[in-house]
Amino acid sequence: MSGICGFVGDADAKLLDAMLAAIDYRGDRTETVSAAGVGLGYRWWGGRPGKSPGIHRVGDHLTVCAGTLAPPTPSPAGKLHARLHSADDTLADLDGAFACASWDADQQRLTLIRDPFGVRSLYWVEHAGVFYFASELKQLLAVPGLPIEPDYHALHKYLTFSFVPGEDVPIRGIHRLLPGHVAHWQYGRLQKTDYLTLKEQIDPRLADQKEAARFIRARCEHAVARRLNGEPEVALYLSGGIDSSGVAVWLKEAGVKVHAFTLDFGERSVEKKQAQQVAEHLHLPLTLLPVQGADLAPVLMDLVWKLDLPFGDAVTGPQYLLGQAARQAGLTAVWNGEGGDQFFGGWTSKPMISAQLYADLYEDQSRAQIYLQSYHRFYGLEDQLYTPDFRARVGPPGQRRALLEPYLHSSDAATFLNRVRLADIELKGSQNILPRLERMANAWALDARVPLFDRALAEASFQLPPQMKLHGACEKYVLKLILQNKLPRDIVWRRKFGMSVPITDWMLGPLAPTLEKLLGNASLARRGLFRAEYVNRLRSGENEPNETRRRRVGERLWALAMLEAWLQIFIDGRGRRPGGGA
Amino acid sequence: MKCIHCAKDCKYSERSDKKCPHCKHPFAFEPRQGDPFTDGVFQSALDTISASSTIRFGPEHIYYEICRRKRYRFRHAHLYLIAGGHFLGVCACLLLPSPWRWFMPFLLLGIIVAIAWGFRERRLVPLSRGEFERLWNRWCEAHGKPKGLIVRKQAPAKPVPLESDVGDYSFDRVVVCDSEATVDLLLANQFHFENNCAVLSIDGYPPGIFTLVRDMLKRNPHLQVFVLHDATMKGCRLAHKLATDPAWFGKKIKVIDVGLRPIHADAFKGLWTESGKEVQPGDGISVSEAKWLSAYALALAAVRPEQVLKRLFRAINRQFDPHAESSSGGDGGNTGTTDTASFADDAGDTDGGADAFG
Repeated sequence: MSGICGFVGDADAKLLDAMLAAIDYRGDRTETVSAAGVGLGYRWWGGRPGKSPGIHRVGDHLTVCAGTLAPPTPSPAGKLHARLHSADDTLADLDGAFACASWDADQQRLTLIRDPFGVRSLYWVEHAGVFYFASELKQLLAVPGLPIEPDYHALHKYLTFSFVPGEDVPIRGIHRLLPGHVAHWQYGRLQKTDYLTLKEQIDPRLADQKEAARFIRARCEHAVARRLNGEPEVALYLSGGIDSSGVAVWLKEAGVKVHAFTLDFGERSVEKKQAQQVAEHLHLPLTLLPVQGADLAPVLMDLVWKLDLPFGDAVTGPQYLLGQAARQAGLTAVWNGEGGDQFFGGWTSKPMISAQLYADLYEDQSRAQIYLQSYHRFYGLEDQLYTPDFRARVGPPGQRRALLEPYLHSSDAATFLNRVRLADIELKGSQNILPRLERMANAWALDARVPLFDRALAEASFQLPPQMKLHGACEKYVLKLILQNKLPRDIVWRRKFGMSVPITDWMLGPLAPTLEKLLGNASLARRGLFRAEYVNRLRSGENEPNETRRRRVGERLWALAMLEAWLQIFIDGRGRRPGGGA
Repeated sequence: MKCIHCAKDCKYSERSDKKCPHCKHPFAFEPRQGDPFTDGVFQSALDTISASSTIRFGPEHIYYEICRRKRYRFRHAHLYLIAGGHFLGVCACLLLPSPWRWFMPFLLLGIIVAIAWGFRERRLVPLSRGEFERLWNRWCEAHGKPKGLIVRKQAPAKPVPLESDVGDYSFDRVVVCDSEATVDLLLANQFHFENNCAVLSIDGYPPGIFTLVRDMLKRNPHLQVFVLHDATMKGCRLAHKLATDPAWFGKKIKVIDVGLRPIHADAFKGLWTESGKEVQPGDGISVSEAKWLSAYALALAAVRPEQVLKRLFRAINRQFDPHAESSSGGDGGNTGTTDTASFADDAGDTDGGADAFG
């Protein structure tokens, strides 16, 4: 919840009102302040604990902060102001979900800072000699005269990852501050430094299973406790997997009243029974939310607008509807189990180990290329999907590999598993999972709490011997050791299936008319990015004419549809609310 | 003959230098000079085995695909039928009144040719391995190595060391093959990556990591084991060997045989080779299988790569399904189960795990 914006330079202070109006769903109160050559704006919900009650002023110094700190504090802006202006503060324990800007009038310096893992975002652009920043992209598009052109390099990356990684966003000239970074704008220059670097420092004592379980359990409980903010009852997205079930256990043990929500895809539900089993075991009230493809059609454009950036994972649709259900139940904070895979060795570990062992056997294959394929979008399919004109604009080869290589050869981790973890945390975790879930929660004025993306817990996870994460072929081993006596045995030790959204059924069925609007021949021709032959083949339910396994059709269609919807709203419509309004 | 590069047709007299007169690209083959097929036929075979450039393949797959190409030929009997039938028909037509007398012979000729066309014979192109090698080299000389061909990298003089922890983990499953070429097919097509899967040959391929990977397999007590092999004595005994050899798994683990067995051979008639070795039943081979294997062999490369991969995907999917059926193969009750489904069944479709919210 909440949002910030501002500028440094010669700009009209009224612009702050427009920038705050662009995020009117992020709060019912606004405040702006301007002085010579600087302006800051803040929007927030009144009466919510843990939020700054306004713009923090100390003399001529001004600080605005969107979001919350962990542990919570009555004024995150005040706390951050103190820490940023302390000469000897290393920010070593700074944690939470925040985006902050602080103006130092003496130094004539603006400082921007983002939370360690990227729950909240910060964008900036320099235009006509003025430096603008905002917690959402759409706010910057309110800057008069700012040219709005697609950044084709960023679109190219989106089509590989299903999100836009790195500092660039798909609008030319606008950039993003990376998570865990602090930046100073002074004398017309931006200097960025990171205040969080995860380093592998394996503690041999944690090779003992009991010791490892005790060590991590304490930090998990602490991570949950540090995010409790006084709400009488909270929502929990319960998938039936071990991560969200673990959060349920720790919330329950902390004495928090929890209302669980899970998705019901009818016959296509994969983990519904497990979620019911966990809720029953922990005596949690559970709302089963039936979701069908047809439910998404009327909300799609609002969903894309609130996502702010294009996100191509089909999970965003159900997340949007879960948020709606939680809000309708009168709740204001929603918890989830995201982060278990990133820190404790889920999903991508085993495929990447296979790839690593068999790397370099054949020509035309590299480790980074294989990792890029694991995102299952359009890597390697560019010739089939891209029009020649788009192909010519996407930039030189190697941009996407360059995003991965630093992690896969990182000197911060010597073990292979932790190198893959670093890539997974920094890319998929920080630049996909966290921002999209925060925006889907905020679409319904919910505060998103992600306890497993806790700084101390993350650092602890890099002290664990990697065999405590992937034990033989058993993923997230240490979490299973911790929870085996707290949850039903089959929940803990079963193989993970994930929340499989039946997106292919939806895209080829009830969402087909929506697809026709977004990806029909007329729309494709107007946009000029994609070849109609390939897109039409996907729409008929095929990736390839002779493919060995027909899969991921729906995910690919969803990614393309979300991009076209995003282009319509943010490029054609300059980020204005679809259907009018802000 | 059409040029595969510019798709333009040309006459024999225009390509005396074995080059397309339009784009000057060389032709690899010249049927008028005794080659068994055109460049177009060869390219079509490549398109088929690569599933339109989506699957990687080895030269052995091209060989069998070329062998599978059938030519329609008229036998002498067909020509006699056309000529004799037409002669008799013309004689009969002479009895008809004009204008039928002049019109009917042409109609009759058309009918007879159509019937003969329907009964023409389909024959495989006979091609020895040596002949294929010669033609394959000519193809590569004229057009370069085709896209999708599996080419092993030269082993580096000094192997790149793996991170210390890589061998500490395990896989969800393993596919053990009886030939290096089958291992190459799976690995080059990323089968291992898509399925959290180890792939090894029974004889120690890939050499640099074989022992490490085999040791890793023992770290997963729930490992799924598949074997993929030729219809040969060695191949059909592979599951039994894995299940009984202490260097592999002993009897502690179920082995799923998804390889070629004599039961599958009928669909590949014409691609069999002579085995020349008496095979005794036992150790995973039934009496009827032993009889067939004593006479013939059939290489897995005779199956299109696409079908091999589909079969494996399907077998893996079935392992997740508690209601999946499987049946004992050969006398292999002690070797696990054989997947008796055909090599052309669909691989099934899934959306994958998508994303979770924890």
